[in-house]
Amino acid sequence: MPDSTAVGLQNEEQHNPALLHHFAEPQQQRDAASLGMWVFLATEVMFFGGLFCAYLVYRRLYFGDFAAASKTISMGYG
Amino acid sequence: MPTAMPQPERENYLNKEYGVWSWLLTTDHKRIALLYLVSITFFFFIGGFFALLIRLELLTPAGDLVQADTYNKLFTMHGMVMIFFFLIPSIPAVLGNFLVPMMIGAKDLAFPRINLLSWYLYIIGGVMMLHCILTGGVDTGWTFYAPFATNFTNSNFIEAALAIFVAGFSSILTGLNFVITIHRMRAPGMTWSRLPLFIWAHYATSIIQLLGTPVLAVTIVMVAAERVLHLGIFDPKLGGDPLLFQHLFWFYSHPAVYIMILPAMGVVTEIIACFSRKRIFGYSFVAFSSIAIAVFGFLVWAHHMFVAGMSVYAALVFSLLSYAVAVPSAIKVFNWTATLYKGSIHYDAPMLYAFGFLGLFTIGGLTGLFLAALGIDVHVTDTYFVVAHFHYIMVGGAVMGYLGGMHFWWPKISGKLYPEGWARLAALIVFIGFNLTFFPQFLLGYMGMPRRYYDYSHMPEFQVLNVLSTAGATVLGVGYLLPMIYFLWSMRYGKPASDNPWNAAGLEWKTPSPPPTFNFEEEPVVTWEAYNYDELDAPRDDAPRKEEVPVAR
Repeated sequence: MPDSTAVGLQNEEQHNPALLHHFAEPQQQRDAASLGMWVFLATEVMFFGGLFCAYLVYRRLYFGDFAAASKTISMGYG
Repeated sequence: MPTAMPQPERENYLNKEYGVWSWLLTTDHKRIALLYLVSITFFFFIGGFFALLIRLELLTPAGDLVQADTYNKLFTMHGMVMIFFFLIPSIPAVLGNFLVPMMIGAKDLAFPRINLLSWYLYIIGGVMMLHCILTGGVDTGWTFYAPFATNFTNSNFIEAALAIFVAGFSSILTGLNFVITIHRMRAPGMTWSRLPLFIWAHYATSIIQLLGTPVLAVTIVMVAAERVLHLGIFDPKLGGDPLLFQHLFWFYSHPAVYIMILPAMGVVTEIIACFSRKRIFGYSFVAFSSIAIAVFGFLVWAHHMFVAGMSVYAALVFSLLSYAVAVPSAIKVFNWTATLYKGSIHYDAPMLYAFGFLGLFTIGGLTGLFLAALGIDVHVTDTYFVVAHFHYIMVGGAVMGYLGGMHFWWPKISGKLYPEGWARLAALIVFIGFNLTFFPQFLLGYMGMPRRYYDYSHMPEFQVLNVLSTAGATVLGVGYLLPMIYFLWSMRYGKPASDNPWNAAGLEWKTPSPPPTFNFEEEPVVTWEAYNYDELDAPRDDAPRKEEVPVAR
């Protein structure tokens, strides 16, 4: 496989089939993909964080109700 | 006009491939931008139609055009469609998608297939919203407060909420794409301080989209769960808190308004620099003020809840922070004004829209400060004062920015010139119509007319101002129709545009009009600062031009 990090070679001569057309270097593509995944995970934190926080607050405030409700839990649905 | 031998049209992103599937399965950011353009224009008509019905009802004090429930649906659908399906996508999804890669010297966005997915998510959300409208609509207000939305509305609320949920992910993915693109795909030499301020504005917008929209998504999940499963999250009878809904909702929806205005500010910055033939005054201040707006915008949400029963001490803090968030916006206005000073002003249509933005955004922003003051807010909250305030910013600001940007970059997008005379007339009509529609609403609100009322027959003295407002809305409608007509006309009959008809700064102007699919044949190497209008306007033949970009012709 030709060395795709060599500077100055034409893209056609050492075209790595995994290199997408809009990226100049495979390292750039990897960096973009990994940064993209971390940023997406940050959005997931915002998404679930609020949900978990609300659940935890209510569970603490109404622990008796949660305990009572868990006695009527349906084992099939969980 | 005698023509020479007809030249074969250069290959560009429009004529490279034909056929419906080449558009529906494209990953070219420019084609996706046009897909968005058509879609958001469609939803603009829908939202505008509801606005027309609202204004028709308000012509007379009595509630005689529609019933009360129907009127509730009208203003709800107007708000939901306009905000989620027109304003939030508009500039980022159309102009941002088209220009961000070109302005930084890239061939496409970082994730082109995710870009296409964003559009499909928008369409799926849009179809769901359309179905909701056709099966009776929602009457909760676009803010869908609990407990009305969760317990008491008889309308098809779950479908509308899910439509917004899906469209929200379109917004998140677009933001993700822009952030990664701006970080990782800038051409060599394109340092952060050489980026056009349009890019800085979209970067800040994308941060807000990424961090804020998931909270709306989770709020919608909770509201839907409450409505369907009666979990009691927001229901006091089951131990819940209705104010929790408002906190969660406004935590997103306040930053959402910055999603709507920041891109327009970026557009206006580009236009003012070009038509004053001057570098923007205070580049770093304008760049960092975009980031500051994004950060501060997350800290002020409770100014929508001053009268909702929250703690007065918390209200004090939010009021102070709301004053603070106005400072970066004011910094921008001052910098734009300083750019105009001693500039060589050209009054082309994009500049007319930018002037309109300057004045109307300033009025809208200042009235926001009125509302941030607790005493005044108690008097004018839930009146037409608030309605006028946000329409000055969203319509007088964001929509004018969008129209100005569409005119400015139209030659690049379509390869044709729009008719300048008609464009200037349309800009003037929009400005006059806008002020006639919304200035009376400040007066109405201050004098006490509540919002979301279809019948004001106990306050018949308000009819005159309401009639003025409706008349203005008609004029505004004409002003919006004109560009739609002449843009379409120009695609067939317009004069072909040169690569840089405005002699503007920016890498996007170094490509042909319209650009080829991959924008640049060879990666540009940037060795000049942004807004180099002094070089563009007075090139010295002896010195080597610093800004030669190897672009295939």
